[in-house]
Amino acid sequence: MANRDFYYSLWEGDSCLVSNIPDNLKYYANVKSLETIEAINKKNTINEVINVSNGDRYRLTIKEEKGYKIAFISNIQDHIRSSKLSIADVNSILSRAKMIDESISKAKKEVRDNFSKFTHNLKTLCTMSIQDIEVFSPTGSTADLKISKLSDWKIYVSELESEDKTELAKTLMRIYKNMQHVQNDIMVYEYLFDGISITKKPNDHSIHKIITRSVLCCASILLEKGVRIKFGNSTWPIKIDYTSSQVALFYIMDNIIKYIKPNTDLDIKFEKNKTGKIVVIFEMESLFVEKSEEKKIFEEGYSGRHSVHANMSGKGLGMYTAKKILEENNASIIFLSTGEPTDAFLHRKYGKNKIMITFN
Amino acid sequence: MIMDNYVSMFKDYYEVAVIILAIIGAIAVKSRKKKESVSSENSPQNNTGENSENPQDGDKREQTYIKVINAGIHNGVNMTKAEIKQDKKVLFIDDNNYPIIKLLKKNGWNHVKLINDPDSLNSDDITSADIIFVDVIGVGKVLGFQDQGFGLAIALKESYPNKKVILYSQEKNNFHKAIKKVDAAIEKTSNIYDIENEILSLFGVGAE
Repeated sequence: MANRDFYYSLWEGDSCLVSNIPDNLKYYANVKSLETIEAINKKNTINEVINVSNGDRYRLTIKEEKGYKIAFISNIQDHIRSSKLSIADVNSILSRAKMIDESISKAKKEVRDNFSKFTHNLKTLCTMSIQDIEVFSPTGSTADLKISKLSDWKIYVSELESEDKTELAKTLMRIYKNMQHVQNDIMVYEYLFDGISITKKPNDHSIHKIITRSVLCCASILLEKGVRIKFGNSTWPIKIDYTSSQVALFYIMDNIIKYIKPNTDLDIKFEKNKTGKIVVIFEMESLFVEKSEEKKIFEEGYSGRHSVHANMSGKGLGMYTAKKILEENNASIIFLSTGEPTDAFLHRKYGKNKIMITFN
Repeated sequence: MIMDNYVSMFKDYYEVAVIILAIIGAIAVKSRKKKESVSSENSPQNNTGENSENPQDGDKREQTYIKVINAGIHNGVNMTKAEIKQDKKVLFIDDNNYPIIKLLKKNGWNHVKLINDPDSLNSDDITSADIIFVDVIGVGKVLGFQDQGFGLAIALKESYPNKKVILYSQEKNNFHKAIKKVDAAIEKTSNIYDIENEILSLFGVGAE
């Protein structure tokens, strides 16, 4: 005997909205059977006790109302005994059908939107990297190629030889950062939207090395903006998961790259606070942030007022993600603005800002 | 006597040759006038939609049009691939700095430029461009277009009907009304070969 329970499937037209009917009962709980009954049953309802193939008895109730159909099948004794109780439960579900339908549609739209944002970013990063490679590769030429030239590596090497080495280095670093971005976005998508938790292997690392490695990934882009990176010294160790902390630091660096004023300094300092915790401080002149926004910029989907005004705002996920992942690593992050703009450049207001990460 | 016959025959041949040369000359003059008339109909001065052409570019444009007239060309039609690459000004309006600019230059496109978001439809970059690629997301904001790049692309095409306006997006946006108003829509993921062919096809030049 199966466990005592009830199952149902809810349909809108031919589209199944939700179903928990087990495979062995699907044959019996088929809403299409209504179509054959319809002619003899003006109520658009089936409500009867049936014997399934293994001999178990079930109450089967199928009903159609206001465009929704429900197939309800139960082996709970009260349902088998009482057709009225079954129809009451079916009516109860049917009365909520529209709400269920709307909730499912809303959830599906949310998933679609998140996925679309995610794939948009991935496509952008891939396209940029492909085009960057094509600049230094025969695949970037639209001229017809003599197939005989493909007999060795000369055709690929000659393209590289004709290019400036600095440009080549810049391109390689851009591609490296783009690929890192792709990898991180996939991890974050799984973490935020698929509920896949971050694998954590906390180990002892040098804080200097952790920060250096994250800065190196983005340093070439900062150099292209004319930003001078000043790096403090530290030999302090921290216990942290390397992979996820690099993801969090990547989004912080990405934010810094985007908003730092060109041709200024990025000052990275290492300090210990009063309680002996290690604090990493990123000091810079970047897009002005109001005092009232210091906490908001870590909220999901929030973009700073001046960022929106300057047409530079993104999806508002970077700093939110960084904070969430740092918290998973027992670290905290705050943003400090002086509250006064320092300068305007290209119609953008800039100010002295600090990002402080405290590691436990 | 024999000499007289030769002189008479020579005179006949000479008259026939003069008549043939006169006919050829007349055809050549007529053909040239017709071509000049067609080209001037499409010159910026006669184009009501392009009144805002930058006068500073007048000399360069005049040279271009003289070249066009000399080659017997009308609005790019009949231009060779090399001539199009040499002469046509390509402008990208995109908030991201895609390497496509470098790629087009690598492939011989002489005038390629990228701007992030124009603050006027009459900017020098726009008035001087022959082909304008418009991104969909992140542009058109400065000019206040609700549909961002779609709105900007429509406004550009309506202001400059003779310019080639191409929507250039990461996403397939086949259902927006702008698609029908612009000259083409290309996905950003397209290969350089694809992009080049799309531009060339707008000037009647097919893939090789």
